[in-house]
Amino acid sequence: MAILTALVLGFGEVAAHVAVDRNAAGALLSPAGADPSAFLLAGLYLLARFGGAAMVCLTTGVGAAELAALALRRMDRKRG
Amino acid sequence: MRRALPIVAFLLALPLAMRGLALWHGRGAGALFEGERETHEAMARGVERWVDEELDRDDFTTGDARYDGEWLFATRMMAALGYAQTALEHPELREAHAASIDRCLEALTNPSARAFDREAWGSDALDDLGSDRPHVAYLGYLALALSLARLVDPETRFAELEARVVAHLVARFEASSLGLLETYPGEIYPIDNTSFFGALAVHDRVTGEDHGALLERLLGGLERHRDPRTGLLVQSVDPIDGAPIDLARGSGTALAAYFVSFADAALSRSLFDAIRAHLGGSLLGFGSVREFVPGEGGFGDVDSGPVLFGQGVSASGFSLALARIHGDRPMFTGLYATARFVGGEVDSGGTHYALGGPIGDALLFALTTALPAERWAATR
Repeated sequence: MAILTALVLGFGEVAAHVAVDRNAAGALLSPAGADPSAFLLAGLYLLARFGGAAMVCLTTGVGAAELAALALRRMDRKRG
Repeated sequence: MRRALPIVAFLLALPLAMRGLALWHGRGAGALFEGERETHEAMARGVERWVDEELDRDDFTTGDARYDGEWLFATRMMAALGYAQTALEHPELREAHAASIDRCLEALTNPSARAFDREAWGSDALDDLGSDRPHVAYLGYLALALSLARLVDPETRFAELEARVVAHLVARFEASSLGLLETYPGEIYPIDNTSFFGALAVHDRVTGEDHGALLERLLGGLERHRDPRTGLLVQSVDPIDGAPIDLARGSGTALAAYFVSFADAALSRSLFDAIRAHLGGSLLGFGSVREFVPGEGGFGDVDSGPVLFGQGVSASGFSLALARIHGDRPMFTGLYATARFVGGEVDSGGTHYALGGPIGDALLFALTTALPAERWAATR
């Protein structure tokens, strides 16, 4: 999951740089007249950005849950 | 109960991770809020690209030639404001930034920069100085950049033009019973007028002239165009009787409060308070400002930018300036975190944003370097 998160974040970074080079900013600020490729690029960037953030949160949550489960198992072993 | 522990840990970790993301993206906010020179210089250097690059309307893709022209114009206009504010805050930058402002004004006064206004009015704004056509879309905003240029460098070669533009608009406002002038023929937007209200106050500060009575009438007249329930500024009014023809909105109120801050800190504060009370919000460290009060409005337009879940891109960005002007550090930090997260900073200096482009970069430069009210009051 962590690797997937890193990949999504990395893709977002690449998309961000390409968006600047292609000046795709206006595509989302004013989609009415946007060049379709700029709109797609900006959309992909946003998807990666929000997707990456969601993955970070999920990875942290899963990590915390696994730590809690591990702690419980160790406590059980000590008792048992 | 024990089996639920991992689930509880998972649920507790989610908001903590969100809060961590907000902290990460808001990490440069403190330096900006405090006005650290190195941070301001880095932003100024980043915007140089858009000042020096040969931009034209084709570099903007709003889908409407007029709006493309407005965005081209606003890029250099807001850059000039950013350079002026940072020069006033850091006197050692004054000489260098005066040169940058000069280049902005050179671009702003180029015939191609005012083509959007010329096409709407059917005549050129600078040729019309002294006529009865106000050209507020171009001259109102230009006046603010020009007057601040004079404040930074009283010897600027644009001083004479500044005086002519101010004299033209003063005459038009004195003749206006409404206290508002047309942005384009048959279209009045209070927000556009407020850019000149700010300019007039700066002009008086530079020249020692006294337009206090006119300014008081114009600023006082804005009260009529504020929503009585919320105190927010109506976006558009009828050119005949001044009746509202659009809703009171976050983007117009926030930008007006920024421009008005050059003339009347108390009025600016009052508009900012209305925004905080009715439109401001924060979620796990990410701040935002709504475009419309809950229950009103739609998906937004070219002024508001996209409106997502009620939150406006422009309203949130413009409110950055208000948070700094009026000393609301938590709001500034939250809004800055959102701007960096959604905007997509692509360099560590916070100068270029994936979804900003020329206008976004210039806006953030001007808005995040807006002078705190007490510093503006002490500036001469």
